[in-house]
Amino acid sequence: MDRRIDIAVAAAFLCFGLLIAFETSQIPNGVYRDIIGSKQFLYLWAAVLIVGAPIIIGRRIIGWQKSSSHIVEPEGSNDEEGYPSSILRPILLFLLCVVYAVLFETLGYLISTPIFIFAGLAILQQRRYGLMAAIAIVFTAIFYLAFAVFLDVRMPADPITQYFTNS
Amino acid sequence: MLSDILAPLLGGFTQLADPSTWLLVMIATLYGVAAGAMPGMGTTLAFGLALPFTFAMSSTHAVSFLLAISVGTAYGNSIPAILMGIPGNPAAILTVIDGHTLHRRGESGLALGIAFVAALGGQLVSILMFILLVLPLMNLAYSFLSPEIFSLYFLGMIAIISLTGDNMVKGIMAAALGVVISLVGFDTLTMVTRLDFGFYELRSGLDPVAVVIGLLAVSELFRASRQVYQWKDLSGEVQSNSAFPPWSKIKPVVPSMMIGTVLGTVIGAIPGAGGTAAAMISYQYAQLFSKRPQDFGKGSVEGIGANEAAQNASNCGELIPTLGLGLPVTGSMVLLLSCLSVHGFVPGPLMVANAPELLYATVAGLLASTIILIVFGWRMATFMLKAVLLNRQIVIIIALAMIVLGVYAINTRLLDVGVTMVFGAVGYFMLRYGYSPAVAALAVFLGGEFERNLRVGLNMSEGSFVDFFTRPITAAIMVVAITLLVFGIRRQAKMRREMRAEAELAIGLEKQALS
Repeated sequence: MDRRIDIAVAAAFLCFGLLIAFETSQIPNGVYRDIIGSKQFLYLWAAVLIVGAPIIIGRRIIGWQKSSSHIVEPEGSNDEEGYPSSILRPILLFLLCVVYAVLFETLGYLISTPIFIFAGLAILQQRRYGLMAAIAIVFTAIFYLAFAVFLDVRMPADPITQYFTNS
Repeated sequence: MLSDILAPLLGGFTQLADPSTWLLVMIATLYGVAAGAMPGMGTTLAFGLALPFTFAMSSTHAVSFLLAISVGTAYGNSIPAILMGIPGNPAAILTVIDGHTLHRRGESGLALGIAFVAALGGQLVSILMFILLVLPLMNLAYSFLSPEIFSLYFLGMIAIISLTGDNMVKGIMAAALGVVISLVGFDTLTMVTRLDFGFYELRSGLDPVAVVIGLLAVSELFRASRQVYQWKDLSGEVQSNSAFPPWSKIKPVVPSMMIGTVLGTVIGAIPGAGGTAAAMISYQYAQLFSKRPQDFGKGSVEGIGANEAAQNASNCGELIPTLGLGLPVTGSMVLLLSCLSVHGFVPGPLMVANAPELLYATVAGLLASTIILIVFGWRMATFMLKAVLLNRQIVIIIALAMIVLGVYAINTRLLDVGVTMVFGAVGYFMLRYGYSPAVAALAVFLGGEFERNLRVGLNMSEGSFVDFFTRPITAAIMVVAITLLVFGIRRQAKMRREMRAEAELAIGLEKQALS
């Protein structure tokens, strides 16, 4: 585990705690009053974040003075040994999911889903493009049956279908 | 008393008269065994992927379906553990040590047979233990008012923080994050909106199911995408001599299986403990009472028996507080309650007391999946090994697509998909850096009621906190919670001391080598 990222994560928690404390101060008083009110419980948990994060950061900085290495004992889930890992892939996958969500209603289910599956496989270093395209099409069809037919979910239609529906 | 125990069993059998229950349980069991066989895809992720499909089912079918998955997963993870030396989840590590040793000796049939009998025996006996233990809790639930519910949720959070993760400060911060998220939206007591940041979409709060799926399932998929490899690369050999062992070889293992079943059920019921702790502790106790303790770790059939029985029994253990008190103790139980909340149930101590059909569905799901495994499980073993041969990258992307579509299906709202992805990213960093996403998910699920019961309880007692410590049930729960907190702090302090000593020893050795 890289102690610099651990510090950055703790700093993000600290910022979130401060944001919650500020936003809580903006909550208006309600029509009905009770002993704790709408704010106190939120202040308490924001305080937990504001106090906890500096403890984590402090411990890491003190540890840094004793050892020059950035790597410390892992506290979370570790990677499988012997295989290279990259944070770039989860970031790209996250961005792909966001793009998929944005395009889902614009392009419709039938166009956006195979693109998502194909691009996702490409991010995870699959290079057999024919197989990737087949998987993208087959699973789009399977999911359509599962969600639109079996679960009766109204999937967004693509622009071509929308054109025919409207006309 | 006997009629109390028989009622859930009879209710369960009645639900089994419905052929659609059998069909759904069959599908769920097969899916569970395949999911269990895939390394890294535990019960929580398997639940997360299947959750959207349960919204189209009746509540009782949904419960049976999800619990059949958990039974299948607990059995499925032993197959690659024995035949390939790959643990499907952390609880199967001990099965790898003994089971894979036996496989390498050419005794894979014995290892698989013991795992099969232990898993199913443990499951069957623990169903009875579950009924015996959940009924008193359900009766107790009628005496629960706001102070009791508050203290119960307090205990749940403290227990899961104390027992999961290596760093308690991070555990408490994860809980804080979850509680804050659960409080976004309309405050029904004072009629004001909180933490909407000016977005009207947030005024009704974030969908807890979308948040929980993000924290528990998407985070794990993002983490898995860090590395590109195939499961089969972890071990090359996939051959087995899978003749079922004779009874004479199984009989000596029965005491270990019993130890695993009893400890697995009890430990599984402790918030935060889960199947891994149940398996580890049962393994140690089985070694303590074994006539051949020296074999443990070197291909012991008793070790496999205790471990597998405990893992399956912990499934029933986890259900005791979840259904008896409305207190989910693991990530998968949070998802089970999420499913029920979508079906209109309000999680809490009275949930099952008011809707006993959920208890019957639980018994039906557990029983039917165990029966299906008794009939088909042995033949499934080598067949399900093919799940490990699937392309890991394809599984990750297909799972992600299923989650996106599943979350969209809840309210046909893209905001929920965005929420799931954001919390998937948050959960990824939490998972990697030791902030338990399971704690955060539990807090997301309980946070709103946690606060509401504190406030209602204080209104009941005219602003005095005394009731929270003096009512008999609250006092007992608070004592247990504080004991667990002290235990967690002491455990962490001990771990830190040991780590410091190890580091100092390593530095000393390094200096000695240099001089």
